[in-house]
Amino acid sequence: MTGIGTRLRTLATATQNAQGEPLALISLSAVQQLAKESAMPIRDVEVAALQERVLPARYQRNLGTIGFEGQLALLRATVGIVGAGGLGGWIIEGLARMGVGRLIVIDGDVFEENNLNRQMLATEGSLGRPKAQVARARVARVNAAVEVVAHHLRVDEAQMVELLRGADVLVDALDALPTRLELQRAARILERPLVHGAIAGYVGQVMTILPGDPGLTALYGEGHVPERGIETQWGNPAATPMLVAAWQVQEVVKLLTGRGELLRGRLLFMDTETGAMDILWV
Amino acid sequence: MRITVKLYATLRQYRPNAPRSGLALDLPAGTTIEALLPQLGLPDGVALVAMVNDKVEGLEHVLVDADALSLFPPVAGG
Repeated sequence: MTGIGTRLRTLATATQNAQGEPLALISLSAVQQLAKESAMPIRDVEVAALQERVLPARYQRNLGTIGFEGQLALLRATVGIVGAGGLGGWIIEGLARMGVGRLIVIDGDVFEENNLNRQMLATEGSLGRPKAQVARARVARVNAAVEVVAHHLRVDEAQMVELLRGADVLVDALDALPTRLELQRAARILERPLVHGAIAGYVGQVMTILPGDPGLTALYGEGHVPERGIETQWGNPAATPMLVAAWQVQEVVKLLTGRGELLRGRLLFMDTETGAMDILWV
Repeated sequence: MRITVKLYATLRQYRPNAPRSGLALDLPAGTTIEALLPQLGLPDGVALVAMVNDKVEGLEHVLVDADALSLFPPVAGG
């Protein structure tokens, strides 16, 4: 590692942050060069750079909120996202851009035309392709430091536990209620936090559920839950998944960096029809 | 006793003229959330989440004076 430390400091350019303090940056091309030279994954080069207090230039706008330590925490983390549709697409994009080092993406669907109004990963060219695989290809173009493990599968609780083992944080990007309860149980078994999100028409909600928290069972009970909610009546316009996904991304970042206050035991309910937001205690 | 009721999202359609700050209702002491639902015009068996003073409660919860009741439909899209 001393070799790479020297190479990193050689390739870094000295600049200043907005406060006029010195900041060592390393460019994308220098990171790529170093990865090739040392036969290391891009992510490992970025981790080595951060350990030398050299910031990969791509993360410069992360620095003010999460700092070097936070960026290291993100790069070293694994996040499991169940669902790569309306919510999942934007969440995966956001986490990749923030530099979460490994994403486990699970989705059993392929893209359909009616996804095009709102799903970030749905393009005219991706119709018919498995969402999890399209996610992996997209991340490779946005941030090659991020490793994506893609599972094109419909999963039950037992499979969730198996496939999500190794994740530090789990994200609910599902589109039905019963399976969300399964994911919450899987998160409990894995002893990992779960960032819940759900959308319908004008409204959306977000809540972070730590293992043992009542979470969704407080909202919907433990008996029969409806398969779907009012999204069957209201559909989902483009803005709503973007809005909720952004909150979910930030909850994940706070969990991984230890900064900020979580929406734990609090359901944030957002209504774009009326412009109202409510925090409800769960 | 007097309580206020706010209906969220699609539940607003059952009381379209309700003010933003909530419906003010005078009710007999001991009224449960469940007993109130037909009075709000909500159909039998409509799925919902009930919050009293911003905290989740079951439908059998007994309301008391000055309670703020909020009713939400299930939101499950993604």
